[in-house]
Amino acid sequence: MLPPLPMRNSSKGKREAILDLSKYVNERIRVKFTGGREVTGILKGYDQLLNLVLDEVEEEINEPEPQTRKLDLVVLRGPTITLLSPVDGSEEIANPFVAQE
Amino acid sequence: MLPLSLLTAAQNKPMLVELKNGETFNGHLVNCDNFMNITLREVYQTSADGDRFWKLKECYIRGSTIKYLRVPDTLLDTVKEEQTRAREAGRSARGAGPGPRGRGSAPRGGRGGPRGGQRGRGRGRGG
Repeated sequence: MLPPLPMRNSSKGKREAILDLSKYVNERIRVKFTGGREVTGILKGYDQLLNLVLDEVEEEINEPEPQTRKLDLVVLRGPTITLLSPVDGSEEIANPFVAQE
Repeated sequence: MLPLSLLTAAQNKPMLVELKNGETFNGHLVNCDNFMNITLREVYQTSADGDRFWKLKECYIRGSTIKYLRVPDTLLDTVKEEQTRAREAGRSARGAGPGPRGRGSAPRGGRGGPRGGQRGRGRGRGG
């Protein structure tokens, strides 16, 4: 029998993932990796380690010049993922901070 | 004042996150875990060189890629108050006033548990 662990972090069960990927299934998401690679694709599957299955993947290459390449169905390794966001509702914009200064 | 307790207290607060690669994210904290992985909502992303900008509805950032987070400085007072209150609640729940402190994981230990337990249970028709 283990001693009860003190509840850290308020009352929520923090063993749970903070990101609910089910809401992105069959949606296009953008993923960035350590090292700077970046892809978009349609989320088909995932696990608790954040490994992902994406379909219709396009890698966006910025250097030496901006271009994309098609990869189709891909397994992405969770531990190398640094950033994840839905493509829907995201857009490039003009500097939003100049007005505030 | 622990970094992660400050961060957890910052939920729903606006903050700026800079990654090791220099990209920054301005948004409201939705959630975080003990790895410092975070989710933000209504995010303004800025490229490392500072001349491209994106608006993201939400995003998830891996904790190990974070350089630093800027949080509202009023948060410090909120968390301090919360800690004192939790400490006092823990002490009175043990019923021991300013007694000996040497009880295992003392001051911070009894946050959620003992308080609810003592209060409100079976006080009604005691006799």
